[in-house]
Amino acid sequence: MSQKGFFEGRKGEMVLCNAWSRLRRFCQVKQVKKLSTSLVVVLVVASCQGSQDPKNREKATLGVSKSFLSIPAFVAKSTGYFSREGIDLTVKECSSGKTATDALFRGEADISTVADMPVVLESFKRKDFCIFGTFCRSYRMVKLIARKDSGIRTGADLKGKKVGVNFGTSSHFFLGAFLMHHMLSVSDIKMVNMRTVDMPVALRNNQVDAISVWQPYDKKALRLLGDNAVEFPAGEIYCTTFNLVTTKSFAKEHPEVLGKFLRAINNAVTFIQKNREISQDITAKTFKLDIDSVRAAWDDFVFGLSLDQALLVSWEEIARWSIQNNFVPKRKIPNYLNYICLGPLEAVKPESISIIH
Amino acid sequence: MKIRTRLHVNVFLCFIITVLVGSFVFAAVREMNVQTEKAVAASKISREMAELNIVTHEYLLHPEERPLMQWNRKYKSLTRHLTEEAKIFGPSEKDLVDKIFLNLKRFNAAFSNLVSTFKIVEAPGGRTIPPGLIDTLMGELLVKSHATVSPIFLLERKIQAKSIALQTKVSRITAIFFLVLIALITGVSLWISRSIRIPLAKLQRGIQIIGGGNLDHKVWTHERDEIGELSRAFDNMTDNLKKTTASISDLNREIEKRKRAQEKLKESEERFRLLFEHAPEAFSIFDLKSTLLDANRAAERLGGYEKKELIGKRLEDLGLLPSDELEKAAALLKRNKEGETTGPDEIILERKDGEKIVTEIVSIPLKIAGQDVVLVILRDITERKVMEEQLRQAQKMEAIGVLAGGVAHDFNNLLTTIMGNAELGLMGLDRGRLPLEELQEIKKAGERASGLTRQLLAFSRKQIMEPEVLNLNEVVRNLEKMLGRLIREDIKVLTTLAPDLANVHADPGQMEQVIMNLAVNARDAMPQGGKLTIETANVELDEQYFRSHGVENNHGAYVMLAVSDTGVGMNKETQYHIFEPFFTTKAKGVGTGLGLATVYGIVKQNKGYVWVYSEPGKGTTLKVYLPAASEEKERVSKKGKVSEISGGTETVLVVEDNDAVRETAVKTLEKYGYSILEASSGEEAAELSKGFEGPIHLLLTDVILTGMSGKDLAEILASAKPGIRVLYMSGYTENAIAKNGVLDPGVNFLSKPFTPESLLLKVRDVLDQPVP
Ligand SMILES: Nc1ncnc2c1ncn2[C@@H]1O[C@H](COP(=O)(O)OP(=O)(O)O)[C@@H](O)[C@H]1O
Ligand SMILES: [Mg+2]
Repeated sequence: MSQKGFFEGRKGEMVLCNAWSRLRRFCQVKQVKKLSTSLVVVLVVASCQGSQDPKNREKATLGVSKSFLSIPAFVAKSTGYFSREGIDLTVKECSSGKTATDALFRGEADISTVADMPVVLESFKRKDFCIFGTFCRSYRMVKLIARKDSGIRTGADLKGKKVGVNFGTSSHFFLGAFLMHHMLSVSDIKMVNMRTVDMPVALRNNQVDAISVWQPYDKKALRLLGDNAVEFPAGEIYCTTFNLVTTKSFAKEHPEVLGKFLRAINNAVTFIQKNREISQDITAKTFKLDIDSVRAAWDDFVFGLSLDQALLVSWEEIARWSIQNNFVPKRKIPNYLNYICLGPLEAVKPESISIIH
Repeated sequence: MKIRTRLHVNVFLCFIITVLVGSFVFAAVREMNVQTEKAVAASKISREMAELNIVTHEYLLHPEERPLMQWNRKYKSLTRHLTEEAKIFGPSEKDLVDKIFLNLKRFNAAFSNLVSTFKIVEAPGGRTIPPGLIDTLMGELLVKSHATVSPIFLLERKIQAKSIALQTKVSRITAIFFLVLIALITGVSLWISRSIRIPLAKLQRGIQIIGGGNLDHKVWTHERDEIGELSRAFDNMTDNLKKTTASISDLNREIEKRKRAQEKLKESEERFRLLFEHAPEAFSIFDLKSTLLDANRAAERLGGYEKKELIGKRLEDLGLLPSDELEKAAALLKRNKEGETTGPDEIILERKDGEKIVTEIVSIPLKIAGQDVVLVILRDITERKVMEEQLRQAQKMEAIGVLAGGVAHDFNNLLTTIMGNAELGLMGLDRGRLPLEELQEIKKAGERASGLTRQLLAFSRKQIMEPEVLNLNEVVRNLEKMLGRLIREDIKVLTTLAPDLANVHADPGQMEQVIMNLAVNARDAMPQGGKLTIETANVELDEQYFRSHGVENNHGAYVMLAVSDTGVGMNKETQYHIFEPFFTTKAKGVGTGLGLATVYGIVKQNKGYVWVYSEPGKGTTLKVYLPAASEEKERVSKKGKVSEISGGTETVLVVEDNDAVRETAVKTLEKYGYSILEASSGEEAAELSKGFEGPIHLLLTDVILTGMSGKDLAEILASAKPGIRVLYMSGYTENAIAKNGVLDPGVNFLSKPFTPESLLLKVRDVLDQPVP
């Protein structure tokens, strides 16, 4: 396949750039206009729907991974936005997005939260689920931390070094992307598969020279290494997204539940943006963490409801990478348009959709 | 034209213009709406084209199913929109839209070519294609894309420019319209108001003339509007009025009558004016802001100024009052303002020639011609004052004269004693005996003589008032001996002095003089002998008291000094005059008539009061009231060195149930040399004293003790140890203790808490008191 960009001519690039920036501007202008009205609407809707008669209420179960990426879901729950929208939501806490999706497929949950990796891996196996919204993004979810005394100062120094990595997870993909970014390939280094929990100690004990680790284990690694740690700025190599997934049958039978669910999440996001401190308190209590570590990590996460064209490209990228590394049996990249469900978000917040349709 | 019609025309004009403006605005808004619609459509096309380009790019990078699917969908929706929106765009945009359409189709063809080529390559066992084919196809695609994007840009920009132009045009025209409207309204309004104002002014003038009494005047304006009608109606009314009003001659008679009345009034005013001007007393009139309104000749003479120099000036600017008198005058004026008549008060004025004069001032609030004023009457009493001063001195000389008589007699007696004893002593010496007894008598007589001299000197001290805080009881006590000299033996002198008498602020010499003068009068009133009583007391003079005595209210705490006799007394007529200088009922050479006048002067000087109560044949009481001083009496300055702390060797029994207080007392007293016995209860103290052989000089005891009280203890000890002195101490005030009957008044008392100094002073004081 031709990896060569098509619009190599300067003219072509200009056309594309213009097109992009115009698209962006268009969305922004519309957003600004709608922002003030939507705030009022949110408040009015929230207060009106609180007194809705019980006949219209819906029951639903949310499988949610206990990670900072899920903060809007927790905030919506503890501020009562779900019940104000008329959903009696049962929250089923899971250890990761992967287990949450498993619960969804077993029929134990109606909706669950999930990162990119499980979506891509599952897309090779089944077609009966769909993503109906992204609500959190982070460029700094996964980080690369190395030992100074292993002679590592820059990304290029990783060549020939042992790197701890959790196969089949974001940790794995992030490392791949990181290496590519530094003009290295997977074969240039020695990958050691390990659990993320074990990474900090392994790094300290010099079993590996670097680790590809996600929050909050990065903090532990940095603490254990002290001055000997090198933390590579994540840059904009890989943006982890956190998405809402449901089965296609549920989406078809209960579109109104998904709509209400998205409205509640959207209200929670607005709340978080307006009440930073209170949200941090809620988070600290939910995760039983001290407020300072919540504050330190806070700005690594961007909360906001959307469905981006970039999501598709990013999933395809991961899928392509997974095929190259033989993590999946198939060779053909799925058509991710079939795994996207635009309807609910279009009903709630159409201006946040940039998927071309 | 009638005013109403004019207003209607105005409103109509405004209406027309408003309608014009309104329809223009309406049309403009419609046009703008069309432009906005076009802009929205253009931007929608532009956005979709941009999205198409994005998907193209994605497909070219990775020719997957997903971007292809998106491309096809987007292309379809774009062409659909273009056909739909084409209707909105006018003929000027038509070629651009056509161009977009055409190029979009070409773009689609180029893309399809590329897709099929990719398919061939990707297909299993795919054929090889000529090198460079894909690049050529991609180049083609780029050109087509560009060719589509540029007319879209042009379309957007064109529409934008159009709508901006439209906006400026609309706003300009609207502004012009509004300006015209405003100008029109202003113009017409001005015209209407002018056409009303002028005839209205004429009408007003006419009405004024008629109102002034000229019923022959005609208002008559020619206008044919409402004002014209009004003026004609007015003329009719005047005509009617003229018929019904009294004739001019009646009116003149009435005027004449009033004039005469006025002249009479003037005459009487003139008379009063002359009376005022030539009155012997100095009259002046102030308004309530203390500006001088008028003054008479006597006032001119008094102040030495001419009237015109002063009228219109404010009190403080007159230059008549020294600064310390100004305040007094202002205070008086303030009371006058409240409607009070004040005086006679004394006030010092400074004449134009700088001479200071003492005046008596009476001021009366009045209403003259509806204005509130204050009439001030001044009388020069400088001469009287000088006289009074001289007389006071003379009076003193009188007292000294009487005294000197008594002293001379005494001195004679003493000299007799001295000479007699000296004689006897010498005789004794001749007989070879030591004249001890005689010498002792001589010494005693000498001491008495020196005492007399001292008193005489003290009394004749110069009479400069040196007020100090003092206790009248002490003044009386000091005088007691001297009184004996002034009063005959057939008169018994009694003193009843209040033990807790408050202090007064006064000159001691003056107080002595007051008492002396009263005593001398009492003596004179009792030629057959009798009883003279001097009494002091604390009194509270209340408002009732002042009201019944008809003087200004100054209620509060006072000290009373009363001198009573059982003499001849006075009738009402005499009582009325006694304080006047030179009033006397006594034979020439006996009375001067100055005694009570002096008393009065002194008491007034000290802000006090003096009253007389008398019944002919029974006796007389003269009561002097002086305000009680708030300061504590300065014992130290009076007693001098006595206040220096000194100790002693006597034995003191200290009884106190509070250990801390007892210890302090014991330590302090021990340090200053006293021998101490201590006890914490009455019983213990009684026991202790029984077992103690030697004398106990002082019992220092708390008043209230658990068990036996301080007073009980003192009584027991008084019989067991005769001559023992007692000093009580208590946390309660002396008064509270005395009032509840716990202690008898007049006992020695020390209030707790006390300082070591006060304890030592009091102990020494009690021990030094004469034997009870
Ligand atoms: N205690 C008194 N009893 C009777 N009359 C008195 C008494 N004190 C004063 N007066 C009368 O008041 C008059 C004026 O007294 P005073 O001013 O002292 O002048 P003087 O004693 O020289 O007459 C006396 O002449 C006497 O008539
Ligand atoms: Mg007299």
